[in-house]
Amino acid sequence: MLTVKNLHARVEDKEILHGVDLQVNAGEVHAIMGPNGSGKSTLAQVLAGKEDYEVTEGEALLDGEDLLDLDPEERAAKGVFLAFQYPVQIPGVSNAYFLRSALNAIRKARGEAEVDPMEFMKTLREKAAKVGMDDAMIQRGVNEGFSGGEKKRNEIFQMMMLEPRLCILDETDSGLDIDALRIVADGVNSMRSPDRAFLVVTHYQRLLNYIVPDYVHVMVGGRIVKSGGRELALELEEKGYAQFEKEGATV
Amino acid sequence: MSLTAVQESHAFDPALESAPTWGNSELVALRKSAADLFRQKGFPTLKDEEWRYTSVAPITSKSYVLAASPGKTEHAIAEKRVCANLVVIDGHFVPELSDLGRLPKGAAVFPLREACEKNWGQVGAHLGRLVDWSFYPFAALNTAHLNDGIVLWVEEGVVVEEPIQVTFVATAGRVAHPRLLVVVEKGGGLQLISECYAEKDAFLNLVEEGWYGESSAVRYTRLQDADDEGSLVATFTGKVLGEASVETETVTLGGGLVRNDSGLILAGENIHATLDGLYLGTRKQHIDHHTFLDHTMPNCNSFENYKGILDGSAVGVFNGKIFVRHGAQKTDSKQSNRNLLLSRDATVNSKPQLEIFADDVKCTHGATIGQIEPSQMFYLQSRGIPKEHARQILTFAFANEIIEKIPHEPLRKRLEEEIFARFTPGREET
Repeated sequence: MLTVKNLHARVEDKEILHGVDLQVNAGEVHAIMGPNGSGKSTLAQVLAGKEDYEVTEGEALLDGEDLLDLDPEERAAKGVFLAFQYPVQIPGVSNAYFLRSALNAIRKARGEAEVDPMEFMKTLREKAAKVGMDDAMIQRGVNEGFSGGEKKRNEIFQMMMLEPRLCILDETDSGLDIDALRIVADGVNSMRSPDRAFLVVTHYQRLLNYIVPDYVHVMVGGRIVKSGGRELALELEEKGYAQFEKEGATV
Repeated sequence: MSLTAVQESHAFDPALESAPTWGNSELVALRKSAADLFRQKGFPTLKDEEWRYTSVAPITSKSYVLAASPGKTEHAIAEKRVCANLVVIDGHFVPELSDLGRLPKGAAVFPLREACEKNWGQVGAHLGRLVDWSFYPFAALNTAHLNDGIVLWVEEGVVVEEPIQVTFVATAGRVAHPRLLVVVEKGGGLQLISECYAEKDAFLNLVEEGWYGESSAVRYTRLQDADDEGSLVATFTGKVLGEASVETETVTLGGGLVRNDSGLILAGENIHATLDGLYLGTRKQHIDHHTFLDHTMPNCNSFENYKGILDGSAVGVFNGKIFVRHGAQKTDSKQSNRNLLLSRDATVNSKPQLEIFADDVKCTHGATIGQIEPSQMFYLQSRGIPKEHARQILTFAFANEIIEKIPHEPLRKRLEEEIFARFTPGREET
């Protein structure tokens, strides 16, 4: 589904990704782990199309199609979704309106009809309940006055509503208590399916106890230095990133 | 064009000589003292601190008719009516367009002239006694022409459950000096909506006085709009007594020249007051809001939130004064003025002005001028919303923080639609 080849990206004059290679197939869950500043969040944002980053080399393909030439909204229409590490607040736009606009925009881009408003509200309530969001939260401004945990739950809620094919989770576990972590993980697990893939970016292996990955990649110094099965996460938990940071420093 | 050149080429004759003469000796004296003051001071210039950023040339460079009867208006009065409405056109109360028979229970409504003639005792004690027209030249000009308008009276303990709307229009080529006098006695409650519109080449010069008694509860939404070739000046002063709650918002949708001076005098303890505003300007429009909140007594709170969205080469001006007088301890006052510039040529002059003479108070203020937040744009786009639509949503969201406070649903919906449509991508500016 997602093929990343020799991806280099920089912000202003500073190169952050120094040649990332990654192959994610439909139905798989990949975890990208790494110390702070290793470039794992940059990779997530580059894939979603954040303008601040300039791709200088390499490619990222979604089902063989070049992603990097597309605007963020076009990527979303193709099924890419980024759960933000720091979701922004948008007072004055309700979560419900925001999601309906997003869903309709995606449907329009795909040549589908708009959602039926009644049907939409029904689905909205059902899915919101799964992440513990009530009507008042749905009608409030996007992330307005939400706690850190509520914001992360809202990201998963949006993902459930938009039903993307490629779900990228950027440090969704940071700042979550154990209950919120379980809600988030349950949301993700309920969406696992043979035609959907997940890229889970995280610093800690804790999340991976709940969302069990098929593959784990270690990212250090802007490239992936080691890949393996889920046991790699446990090894990292035990030994830390130090062993890889030496390798990363030499590249 | 230099300022002197503008002043020398005055086309607007303030026509003080043709001002009305009816009324008892007190009313005649009131007009005369205002006229004398205006003659002495004249129109404000850019040298006047209160008018530094606003030239009155768009007003004074035109000539207007001071009409003896209401003209035919292009303003869609019926469509814009959201509740029982009272209409004043070209300075004359128009009973045919007003819902006198359908007013909610509790409020006494009179055309101003009739009220002056029949009940000067009560009216005279309030009319022209609140707005300091020695400070506001256009209020002096209005007072010199004092003729008609609306008096709205809520007696002690009466709570008017339904809102009342008042509409003031100046029709093309005309000047009007209407008045709005609102008295809410002790324990009274009122929801008021006012709407002002100046048509092409018209000048609407409104003065409003609001007397809000002890423990009264007033909810006031004001709408302002004018043609690109029209001018609107509105001067409003409210006096609030102890334990009262007064919440206001002023929404300015545009206009060639709009100047609004709004202020509340907090003259009792434990008052809660809000003074909120939203102004939208485009093309070459010039929108100026001057406000004051005067804390004269202890233990009051006031919250002021004005937001501006400016496009084209529009100019926005905001000046917010907060006075905390000696002895007004435990004042809690918060002021904010945020502006969103949608084009390179739009400008805003924002000036908070705090004068604090008490030592145990909490006063904050802040002003920002900026563009749409790129992180918000990316968030919306990453969810599939195209760039232009995302801009529309975010611009509306900025405005909606004020609009969503409007309690009257039909009015709120009307404004939501009008304002959202205004930011539709690719909409031709007409």
